Amino acid sequence: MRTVTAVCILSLACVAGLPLVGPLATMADAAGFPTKPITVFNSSTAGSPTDVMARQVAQYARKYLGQPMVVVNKPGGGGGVMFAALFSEPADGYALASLTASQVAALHAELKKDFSFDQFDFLANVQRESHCLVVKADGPFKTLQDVIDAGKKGSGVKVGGQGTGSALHLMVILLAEQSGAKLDWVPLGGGSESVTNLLGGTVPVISTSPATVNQYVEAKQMRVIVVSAEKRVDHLKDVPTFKELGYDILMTQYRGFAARKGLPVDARAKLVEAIHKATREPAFKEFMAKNYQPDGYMGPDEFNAFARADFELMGRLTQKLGAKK
Amino acid sequence: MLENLAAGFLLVAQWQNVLAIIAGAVVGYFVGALPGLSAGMGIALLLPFTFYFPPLTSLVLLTSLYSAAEYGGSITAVLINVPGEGGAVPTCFDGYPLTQQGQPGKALGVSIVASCYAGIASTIGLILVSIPLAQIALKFGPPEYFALGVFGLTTVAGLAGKSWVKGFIAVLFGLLITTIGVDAVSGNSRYIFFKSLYEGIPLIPVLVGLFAVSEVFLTMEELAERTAAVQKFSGSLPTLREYLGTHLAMLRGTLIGFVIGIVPGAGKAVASFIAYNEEKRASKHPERFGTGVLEGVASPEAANNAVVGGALVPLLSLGIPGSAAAAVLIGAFTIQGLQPGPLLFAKEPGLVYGLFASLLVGNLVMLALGLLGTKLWAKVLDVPKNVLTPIVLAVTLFAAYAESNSVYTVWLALAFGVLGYALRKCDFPVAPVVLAMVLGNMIEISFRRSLILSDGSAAIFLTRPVAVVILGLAVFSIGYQVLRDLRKKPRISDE
Repeated sequence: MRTVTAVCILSLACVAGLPLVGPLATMADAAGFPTKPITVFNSSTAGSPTDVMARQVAQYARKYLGQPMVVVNKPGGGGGVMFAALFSEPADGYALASLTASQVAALHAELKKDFSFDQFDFLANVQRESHCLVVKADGPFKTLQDVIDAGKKGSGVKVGGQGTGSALHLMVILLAEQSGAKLDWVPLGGGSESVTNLLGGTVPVISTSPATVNQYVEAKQMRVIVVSAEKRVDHLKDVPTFKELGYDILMTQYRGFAARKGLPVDARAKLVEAIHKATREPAFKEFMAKNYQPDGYMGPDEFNAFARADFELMGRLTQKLGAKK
Repeated sequence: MLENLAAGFLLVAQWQNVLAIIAGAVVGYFVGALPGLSAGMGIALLLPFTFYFPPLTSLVLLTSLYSAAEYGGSITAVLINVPGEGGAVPTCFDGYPLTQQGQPGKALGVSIVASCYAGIASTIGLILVSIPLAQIALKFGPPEYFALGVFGLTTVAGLAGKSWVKGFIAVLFGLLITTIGVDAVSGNSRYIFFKSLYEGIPLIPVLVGLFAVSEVFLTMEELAERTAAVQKFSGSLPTLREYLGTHLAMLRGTLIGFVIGIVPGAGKAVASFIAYNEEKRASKHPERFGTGVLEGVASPEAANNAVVGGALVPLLSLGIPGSAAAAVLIGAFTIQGLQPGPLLFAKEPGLVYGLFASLLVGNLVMLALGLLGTKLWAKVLDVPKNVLTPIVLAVTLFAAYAESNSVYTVWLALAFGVLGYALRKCDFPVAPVVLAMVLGNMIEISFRRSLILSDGSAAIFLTRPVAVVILGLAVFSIGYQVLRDLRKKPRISDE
């Protein structure tokens, strides 16, 4: 399949007569990994934060791999489609998945039947950022307390966000439980749908990531009322954390790369090294800063342990809350 | 604004950008013409190359590709009754009959002129009213999407052909197909017997199966029975008078396409189905629709190109993509470190107006390509059918493969090809199946989200003004067709 994609791209480029600037893959030495392009599956659509992260890493990692990394979007099924694609390829290092906490959380829910956490090798993490709750700048709510107060009256407050059983969802369930407010989850399709529904007034609060709403905050259309990280977020210094407000909620979104377990040792090392070096490139750091992403690099040992801890936390949450649908 | 636009034209006049427009148009033209390769796929394929381009060049290339691909989809629809994607399905209804009458040039000519007209008109709309109109996108919450979906479904009345019952059976079948896969609201699995079904049944293999593969089977049958008539095809373009006759159709199609384009996620297929249906209703001779009426080609073709300008409205001013292809375009922006959204006009006026200018130029390039290509395409039909048919099958299966890069979708296309053959043999229309598949998920998910929002009360559909208006249109649309059919029937028996 990679060949077909490559042939497509090449033939299209020929048709277009495009001036192919940029490195056309400095030839890899014949013996070592990789000898052909590496596919990176992505469970979101092109242009989403994870997709852009993967494409940026791919752009710089190419230099160190000697082969292109090709991002292929496999949206759908809460990540299931991407995982299915990953597992239809051999564990040889030529297929990776760019994944986030959401897909790890989904391994407790809809993906549980078909995939298990232990099938994955978490190679390298790239970004780690807070979740947040966001309201409209000119809406009725100014602070988290306003939302909680409203949630204790009448029919409660609707909170929109991506997916069902996602980390964004579990965060709201936790908040509802700890505050005693009634917060009804409205599952939406993704970041831009959440934005539309908040701006359009369909839901008064959304659970999302700061990166998704940065420009709207800057344009004074939205306000972030709380973040879920341990510490306040650099560019949102005025926004309190859940902890500061007395809630025991600590959750972060991380975006990194995983593969099927059992990669050949040298391939695994080469991939990790290339991803690591890519994230150290000045241009990559500039990209991260521009998008308000803190550096969250973790190597395989650290990332595997971290992902497991997060997975287990999600498991406890999902179980405790009866895997609310 | 004019100053900005002039500056935009100057930027576009740089050789890299001119080259990018032409390259985008050529690639888009072919991507569109290959059944199953959509504009979104074309953009995604070229996206990696734009890494190394300056921002404007990259965006100009991709938007030019986007417009041209929307036109390209009509070529195979007209020539061989194989719509390249959902939005081109209505083009088959009158485009293919024209080909059967030996006049593919007329259909292609009207199609390219309508596409270019709509492209330019919708770009002007985008330039003039993009910021106020973006509010339309925000007016669309779940109840409105539900209403729009239902309205879209009512166009089946215009597609049903001879039998209403068969049309509705086809619609219900399409809706049933869309229930397969992971349910996006509860996360439950539905009818997932094997992993590939997770994502549900994708549209493209079904589309090419029902239309193209079944057409191939029918042609093979004709060839075997030696009933296929040898025919002369003319590449001659419509006369000026014929163009002028379709002017109103183009205008209506453009308006419908532009507005539906603004609504994020509604998509061009909805736009062109609705445009076709409205055109038929507005026409003085609706009974001739489906037999090769030029307006029947002009309106949906205008609609699916007007969607491009429409989809850029919320994209540029709100950062919300209006269509699947526009969603991929967002990726192109972010890769360049740009964020389409409320700050883009203020931060990057040169880029935005350069993009506007390139859309205007790009549509003219597309027009030139299209008109030049018409004679050439008509020649394709001179290829003997026993040679052309296997090629069509190969191209079609390639498209099905490209959908998921797996053989699974090829089998899917073949299975739906057999099904399509059976349906067509039994006089079931296949277009309603595609229509239902385009709309099914939108209707279901927005219905359920609406009920979550209203705590289970169906009143939500009747208390939101936009939803009420659209639902009213739906009732009107179906009622009008029913009445007209009732009145028409006695007349037929008189004859």
